[in-house]
This record gives sequence, structure tokens and C-alpha cells, in this order.
Amino acid sequence: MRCHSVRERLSEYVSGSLKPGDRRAVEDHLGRCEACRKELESLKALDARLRQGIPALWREVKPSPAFEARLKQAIPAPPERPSRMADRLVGLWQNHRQVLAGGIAACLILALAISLPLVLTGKGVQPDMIAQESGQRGAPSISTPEADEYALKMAAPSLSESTPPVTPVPTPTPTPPPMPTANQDMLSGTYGFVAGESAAVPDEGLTFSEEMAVAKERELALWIALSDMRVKESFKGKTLVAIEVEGPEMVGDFACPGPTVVLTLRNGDGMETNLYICVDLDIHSVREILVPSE
Amino acid sequence: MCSAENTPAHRRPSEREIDLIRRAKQGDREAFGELIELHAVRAYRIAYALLQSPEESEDAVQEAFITAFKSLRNLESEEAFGSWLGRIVTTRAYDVLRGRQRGQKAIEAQTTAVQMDLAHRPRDPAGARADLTLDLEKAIAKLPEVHRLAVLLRYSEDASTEQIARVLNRPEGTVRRILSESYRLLRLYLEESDAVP
Repeated sequence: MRCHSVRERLSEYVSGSLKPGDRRAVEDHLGRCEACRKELESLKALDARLRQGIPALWREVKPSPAFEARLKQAIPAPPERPSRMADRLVGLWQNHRQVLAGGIAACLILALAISLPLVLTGKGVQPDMIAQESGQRGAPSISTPEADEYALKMAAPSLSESTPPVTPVPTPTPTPPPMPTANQDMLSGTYGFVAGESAAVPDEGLTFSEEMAVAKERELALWIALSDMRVKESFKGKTLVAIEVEGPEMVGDFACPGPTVVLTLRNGDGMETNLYICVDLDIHSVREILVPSE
Repeated sequence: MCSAENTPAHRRPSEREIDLIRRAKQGDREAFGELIELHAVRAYRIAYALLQSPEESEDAVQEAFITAFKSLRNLESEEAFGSWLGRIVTTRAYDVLRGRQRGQKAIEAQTTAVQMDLAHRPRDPAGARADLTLDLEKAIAKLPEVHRLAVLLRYSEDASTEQIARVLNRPEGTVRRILSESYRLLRLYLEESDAVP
């Protein structure tokens, strides 16, 4: 462990809350590094001062006497009871949420992996166009190999029924889209999860489970952002070039406590703009959207 | 009434509190009222640590409780209610900071460093309170908002890095850096104040 990582852990070392493995690594380092031992002594003195002074300060911070009553009055009437069907769905979710959540997450990832590259680049087959050319309506508009196959099957009878001129419809061979991986260049641009703060300054010391938790939150943030109607509206006439999920972000008067989804969009003139989307994971909604150049 | 002078987020909620949370999830305002009694003071302190303004802190906490009541169904684990509420308060306090910024008031710790004692406690005329505490107050008030909250949670509630991370909604590694940076700044500020005769 290097000095930088050790010093970040000294406070936990002093308070005795460091995990055993980290504690051993810190002690090993302290045995070898005089500068860090001095830092430890200095921190112990500060720690004692903070332990003595802060609890008293904290206790003295109190709201006004009428505050609780005001809070209670401000609580709105409860939302209307959902319908019986909704009740059943909620019950189903509550009883089996882990299984359902896992299934939904897997479906979403699969759907994104399959459709996003093709949708972004327009390189996928456009089955609805094929269907329109052959007089069919209602073919699936999602460009996936399965959808393409479906569209071509739907188009085939009308072609065979139609009278001359019989022009063979070119049948482009859809290639399976590559699975998106972190920072993978894909066709029209970069698609990937760039780990906000971690990208700029690696989060040394994050355990695997912490990394997984952060990755899960970023994935959820992206899903919430891309589900927002206002965000979808912003895509009109533009190409999505890159996606990043950052931590807290401050751009001008846009101050997001995080996570912030940053989408880079390119218009027809080749100009690129960044769309900053502040996501609230607690209430599963987009808090604010900022387009700095507009 | 104000029964939760010390209701840290990481205290395991009692069976009664869990029952209150479950009832509140079903829209029971009375149960939520009791949760307000349990958590209002701590929520206010979190907001105040960031905002350093009594009025704005009360407004932010009120917004946070309304949001919490409306979104309570999204809370999967009743045991996480305290840290979940803390995170909502933090988020609402950020809204206020953003509002200040929109009003051309830069978010700078130095300029928003209203002293805690000015708002919340009378001066001790006998000078019984040690100057050290006063210096500490000033030093803490000079910290950037998030740093201030992290330090206050650590030392007022003995919160672990993981628990602070939950309230701040940031990775533990980031919280470690914030705390490490806070100690550096505090030592700097305290040395400055020690140097002044």
C-alpha cells in the first residue's frame, strides 16, 4: 500500500474501524514509513480534538420549536389506493422482487446490447421500411436479427402474391451486433461507461463489491435517464455519440449531487453538444437536464 | 415530542420503527408523523451542515420529508430508512445550493461560513467554553459543504465510512478522500487560528 492510500485510511485506523486486511497493510506500511507515522501522530491529535468538540456542536444545532408541527402539516394526503390489479402487481413484486429484478435487468441489458448499436448507427435492417415497400404495416420496428427475420417473412407472401414486375427485394444480411463493453469503440462513436470520478482519479481501495455497487448504480442511472421523455425528445435529429455516467457534476448553474449521465449528441452539421442529466436514484427520476450550449 | 435527539442513521431501527415505516408505506400519515418525530432533528442537522442557514435548512428538510412520504414505496429495506432519508435531505440541500448559485451567489465555503454558534447558541459570557472549541467551529465552518457534513457525521454519530457514503450517495473511496482532505484543511485552519495571538 502506498502513502496516499495509507493516509486515506489513517482515520479509520485510529478509530479502529478498518477491516482486518487493510489494517495489516496499514501497519506494515507504518513500520516502514516515518512520514506516515508522523502523519498518524498528527491525525491522532486532531482526532482527539474533533471527538471532544464536535458532538457538542452537533447537539446544539436544532430546528425551531414549531418545526415538527410544521412538517407534519406539510405531509400531503396519501396517494389514492391503487387498483386491485395494481395491488396484485405490487404484491407480486414485493414477494419476488429479487427474481423479477434480476430478470428485468438481464432483459434490459440484453435489449440494450442488441439494439443500441444498430439504432445508433442505422446499420441495422429497417424492417418497417421493407414492410412498407411491400405493402405491409405493423411490422416490428426494432432492428434486431429476429425482427429482421420476422419482417422478411411478413414481406415474402406479398411479394409472391404480387404481379409483375417482380423485382427481388435486396435482402441485407444483418450482422449480429457486438456486445457493448466498457469504452469499446462502436461504429459511430464511443459507447461505454466512463467511471466519472474514478476515471479522472482512480478510486484506490474500492473493494470488488463496492465497485459492483457503483456499477449497478451507474447502470440504473443510465436506465432512468434514457427512459425520460424529455431526454428522448432531445435526441430528435441528432446522433448519440457517447454516453458517460459521472458522479456529482457542476456545470455553470447546474449542480447535480450525482449521478450525472452525460450524453454527447451530434447534429446534422456535425456539431456536438453535451446533455447533462441529473438523476435521482432514490425516487427513480430525472431531476434536471442541462444542455449548456442551447 | 422531539424524541430523537440522537437517531443516527446506522442505529438499527426498532421493531416499532420498522412497523411505522411499513404503515407509512401504505400511506398512513400518522405513522409517518411519528417517523418525523424520530428523524426530524437529525435531518435538520444534515441540512444545516451543508447549508449553514436555519431557514433554508428547515425548508430543505420539509421538502425532503414530503419527497420521502411520496417515494416511500420505492424503499426496499425498511432498515435503510435513516440513510435513505439522509440522502434525500442531502439532495434537497443541494437544490438549495444550486438555487443560491442561480442567484449569482457563488457556492464557496468561505462566503457561506455563517458560524454555527451565531444561529444556534448564545454566547457564553463567562468564557467557559474553551477557545479551542470556538476555533474548531470556525475551522469546520470553513470546510467545503460535503467535507463539513462528512466530518460532522463521522464525529457526531461515529458513522463509518460506509454509512457516510450512503448518506452522501458517493462511493466509499470518495468518502475516504473527502475525509482525508478535510483533515488536511482542518489542520491548516487550526494552525492559522493558533498562530493568531
